[in-house]
Amino acid sequence: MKSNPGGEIDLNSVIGRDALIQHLWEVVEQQSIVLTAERRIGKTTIIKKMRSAPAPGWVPVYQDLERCHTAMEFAMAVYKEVHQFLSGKQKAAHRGMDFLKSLGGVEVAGLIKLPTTKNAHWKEMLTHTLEDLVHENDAAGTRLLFLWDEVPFMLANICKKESEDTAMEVLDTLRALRQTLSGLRMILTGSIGLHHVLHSLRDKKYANDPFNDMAHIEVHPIAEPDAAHLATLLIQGEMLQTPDQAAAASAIAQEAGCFPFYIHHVVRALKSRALPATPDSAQRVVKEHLLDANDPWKLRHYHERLQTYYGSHQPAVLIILDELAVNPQPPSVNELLALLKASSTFDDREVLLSLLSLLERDHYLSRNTDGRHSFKFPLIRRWWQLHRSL
Amino acid sequence: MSTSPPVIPSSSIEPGTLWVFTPSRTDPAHLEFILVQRQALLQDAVDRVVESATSGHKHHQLFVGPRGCGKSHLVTLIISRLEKDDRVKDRLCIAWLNEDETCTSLLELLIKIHASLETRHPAEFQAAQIAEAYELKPAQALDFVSAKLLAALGKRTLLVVTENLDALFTSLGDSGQMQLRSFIQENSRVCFVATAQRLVESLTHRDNPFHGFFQTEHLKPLNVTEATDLLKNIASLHGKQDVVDFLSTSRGRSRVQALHHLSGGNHRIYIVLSQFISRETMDSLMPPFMKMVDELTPYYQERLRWLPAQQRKIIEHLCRAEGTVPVKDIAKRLFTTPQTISSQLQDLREKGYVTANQRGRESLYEISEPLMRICVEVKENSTHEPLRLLVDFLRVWYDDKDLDERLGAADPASELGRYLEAALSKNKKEGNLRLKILIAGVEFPGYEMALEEVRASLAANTPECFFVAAQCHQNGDNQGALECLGEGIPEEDDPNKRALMLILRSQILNNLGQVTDALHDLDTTINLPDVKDLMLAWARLNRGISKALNNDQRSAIEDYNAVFNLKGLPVNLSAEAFHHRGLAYAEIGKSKQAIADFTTVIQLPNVDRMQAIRALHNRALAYVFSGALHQAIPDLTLVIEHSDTPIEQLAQALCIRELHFIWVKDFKRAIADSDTITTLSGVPVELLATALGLRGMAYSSLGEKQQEIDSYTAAIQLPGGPAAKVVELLCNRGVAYREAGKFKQAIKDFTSAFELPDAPVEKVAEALYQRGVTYLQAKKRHESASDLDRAIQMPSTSPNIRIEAQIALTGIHFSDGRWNQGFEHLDEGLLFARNQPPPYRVKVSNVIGTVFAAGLNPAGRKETSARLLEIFGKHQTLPSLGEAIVHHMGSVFQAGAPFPSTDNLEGWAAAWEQAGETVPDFRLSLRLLRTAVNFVKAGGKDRTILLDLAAPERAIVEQALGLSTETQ
Repeated sequence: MKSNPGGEIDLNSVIGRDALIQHLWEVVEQQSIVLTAERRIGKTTIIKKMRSAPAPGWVPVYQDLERCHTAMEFAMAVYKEVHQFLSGKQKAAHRGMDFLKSLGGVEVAGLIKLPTTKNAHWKEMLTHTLEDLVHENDAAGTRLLFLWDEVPFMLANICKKESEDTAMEVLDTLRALRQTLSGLRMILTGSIGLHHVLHSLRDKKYANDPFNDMAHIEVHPIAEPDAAHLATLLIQGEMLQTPDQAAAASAIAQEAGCFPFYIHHVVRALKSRALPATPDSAQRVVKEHLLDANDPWKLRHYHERLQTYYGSHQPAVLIILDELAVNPQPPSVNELLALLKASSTFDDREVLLSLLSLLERDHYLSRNTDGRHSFKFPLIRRWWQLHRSL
Repeated sequence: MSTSPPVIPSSSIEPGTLWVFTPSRTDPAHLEFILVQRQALLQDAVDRVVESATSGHKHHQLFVGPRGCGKSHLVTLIISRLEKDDRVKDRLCIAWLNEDETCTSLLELLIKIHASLETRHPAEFQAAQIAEAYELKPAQALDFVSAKLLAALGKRTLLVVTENLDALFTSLGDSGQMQLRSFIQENSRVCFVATAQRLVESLTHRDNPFHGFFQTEHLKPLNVTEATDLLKNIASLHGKQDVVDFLSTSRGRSRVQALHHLSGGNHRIYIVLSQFISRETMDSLMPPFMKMVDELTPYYQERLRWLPAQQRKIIEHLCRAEGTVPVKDIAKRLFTTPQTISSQLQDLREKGYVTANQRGRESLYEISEPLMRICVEVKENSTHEPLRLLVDFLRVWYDDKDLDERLGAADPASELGRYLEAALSKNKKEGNLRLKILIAGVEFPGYEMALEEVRASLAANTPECFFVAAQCHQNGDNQGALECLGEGIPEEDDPNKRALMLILRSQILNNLGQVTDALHDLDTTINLPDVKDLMLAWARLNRGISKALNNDQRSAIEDYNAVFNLKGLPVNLSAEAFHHRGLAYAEIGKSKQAIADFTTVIQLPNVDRMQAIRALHNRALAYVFSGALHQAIPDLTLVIEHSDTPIEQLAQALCIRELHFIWVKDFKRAIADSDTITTLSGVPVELLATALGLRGMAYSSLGEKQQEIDSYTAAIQLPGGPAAKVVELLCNRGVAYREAGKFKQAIKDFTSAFELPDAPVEKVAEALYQRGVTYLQAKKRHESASDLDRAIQMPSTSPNIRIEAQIALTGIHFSDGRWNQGFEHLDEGLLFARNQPPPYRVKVSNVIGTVFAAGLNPAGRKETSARLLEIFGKHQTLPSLGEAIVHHMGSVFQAGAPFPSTDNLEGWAAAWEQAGETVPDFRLSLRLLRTAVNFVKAGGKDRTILLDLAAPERAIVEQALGLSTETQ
């Protein structure tokens, strides 16, 4: 297998995700899921793997929703999949079809033609379609599982093209349907944290939590032995020279923080520079990437997005992250508050708690069993130290 | 842009035609033939597409580089190879989109992909299949075309090849990009080979759909060797063996080297010029050159327009300048501060517009792409003067004689005539450009000063092949350099010019380790008749250096001495000779003479300041090696404070001064020096590690445990640190952890230290010993004994560690009641102890403590004491034992009340007195012990008891007891 940072991975070559996928299948029996993780950690690969090897009784459908710019486009995208699923079982999405016809839409040879002026009726279209899915399906038969990728992009598109209200309604409608249609299951994910979409909607007075009926499951970097195994396969696939393959693979895994994406990058860089795979060269390549003024891994985003995500609290967040980057012992919340008081005008414990919670959700920080915070990914901590000259 | 290449009548195309602006029209076999630099990259790209076509992996590759850097050439070859590759037969469909394709939606893009597939795969893809789409609304049409495309594709993988992806993405906009990504993700059957002139935000910004999506390769410009190979390949393609041969001569090399300065390694400009190089007449040069200018001008103007105003002004200034420009000059010209300019230049560097060259601590800037000058020139040239680049090209490629001849043959009113005339007139006014470029490019690390003199006196008459060889040499092409000199030396009749080339060849041979051959060249030079003193001096100097490399310092000194006998030498050359003689003296241990020579250099009137700095630095080192560290400090401070000191020397000076500050216990200044080193860029890793290690020691002395550990950690984590240094640092950190009671971390560090690959054996022994000591403190006697035993068994273990390990083992065995084994270890350990400094005595005091605490009866104590006296006496180390028993009693007192019982203390003193009564050399120690015991027995408060001793003896006991003399 060749290194392939950013590209699509052969689903038979996905490493270190079997246990998580098994867990997802178990959870989805009970409830729908929001899959969260930092960008490029492999969420899409995981749900595509679920699509390629479904658990018995499930028919997963993968949809990348960033192409949908209106709520109706979303409803129609769902309708097409449901229609195809039920047709395969010699059933029909009657409610959806009837509603479509009532709007003046027609279906010819699998192509749906819909009058563009009827966008306002997306909610009914979505509701009828999902009712069809649950009610028309044979009771003992297979179930459709929606794997919806890039949901936040879709919501942002709807906000932009229609309105925030419509985006809120889409979320509320989906939640209501999950409540009323007990067999309906979906896994939602996306590159940008869903909580930020909610946060920006809340600014528009949206107070609901449309995901509180769903299981929130976070995808972590893969385990170290799996990461080393992946590095080994890539070293072999790229035919890199190595005096000690195991040592090199282990070093690459560690240096890349067990992120498959960065492991691919490191091996790719070794190949491009015609370097042998050794712990030294892996270390060198990672350091060069972290220090490169062109920021090839775009880690500066961890700094730049703070203004967008944290607004006026950005200075406090910088103080917190700087402190955690250099302090080997995670400080307590009170110690952090004392630090903030000493170095800024910040003086609000409740706001600090909320910032720490957001930083956790944005994958900067994690909490240990004593409730103390530290950087979640050593690689990001290392970059932060270099970037901020700490 | 037309959607398909125009049909060129085959009769109008010459065999081997290279299409300069559309390489896709060139026969791929010819492109393969002329390919340089990118063979590995090309095959790798092909293999990735093959993997995409034959598995579920889908690679998306993006090649980035400025116009004319060979992107289309590369892409054409990728496709050509794939077309012939059996591995992807029936598994891959290639859609090669036209350059600068404009699509504002995914639908348009899919239609263009389909159109491309219709040409390449007519059996499966026909226009009629998607004709119906034009009757539908866009959303339905997208579904329709997408379904048809995927159906016709079947299980095959679609390779989309697109040039100028940045432009495509810009036209697609956010919405189109999202649709495209969605299409790729949902269908898993698409891979990309794309090119772009720059990385636009849609590719780089983390919030955009295509962030991190492509495997990006930045294409590098050609270096001189690669450019020469490209020109040779093109000449071979056209069957011009005479041109190939010419390019291998020193004349050919000199032209390519000078040309490289003008072209900046741009593929296209070489291909344009190759057409002319391969032909007899110049008529063929003008049209493609002008077309290139015409094409590049708007491109560079557009690139300039992307910049903020101040950055644009900087670039324009650099475009007008002839060479590199220091920051302060730019600031002056633009009426602003150097700080402002520095920050703008940093940004321009990151954007790839400028490159920086270091001279001392000063940065000199120039344009990254010399062709950008065209844009400023065209903009400012309203009088239709000949373009500087082309005029300069003519000046570089031809001598005046050739230009004259060609001007004679050309119509003076023609464009060619105007250019030839401009070239001749500029040569007359400004001199030989080729020689200027070649001379300016020559560097000799360590010989800059001597070369400057040569430049000044010989530049006009120096054979070109000398400079060509020098440049080949500094570009790493030693073979080329030797070939040039091999060609030039026999042809040269002038003894001085011949000497110059022989000296250069000796320099190259020295660098290649062929010192005997180098010496032969220098002998020849020195024996040449009628050689000027300057050449002779330079040859002598070089011969001295060669001999010094051969470890023949005394003979080297004779050569340096001979330099001083020559008259009228430039001061810099004399300074070089003094400097190297100083180094030779230092090498043979004559520090005094070395210091005197370095002093001479420093005091020479008008000496180059870089030479003075280097001499100051080496004088400081000579002081250090002669044991006079304090004398080195003023020199080091001067080196540190001088703004031109090269980074490595600066870091070394700071490091030595840091060490000095530690010795004189000025820890804060030591830490400050270390901190300064860490702020410098380009410091060799070993020096940086040493500085951080010393900082750890300074913090240790200040009792700042955490900072101490952090310093060692920072040093350990430096990439590429030498193994010996890393082991030393791990051991230091281990000790720090141990002292902080963190035994687990300490043991981990010592283990890492001796398991480190390439760790020097003596360091391994030390790490083992330290781990043994740590285990002992962690009360793991078994593990401790095992490590200490292993450390002792290693032949590389130093005597000091051997003694300490044996004494520690003595203590372990005593604790376990294995007295005889303990005595054996002690006996073996003390074998080495006679000439060793005191630290091990602390460990002896620990052993004494073990005996004291062993609960022996009076007879047992007496017997043990007698045995200890016997062994220490045998190895003539009784003072250590004496000091240890007094020190031990001091520790008993310092541990505080409750003290051991008076019976116990009395029994202890008595046992030693009885055992030592017949040992005269131990009487003083016994007296001190008795006094100390009496003091403790009395409760440790009555200091009058100590008055039993004379003042000097009393001072020893007071020190052992930890009593301050001031309180008396």
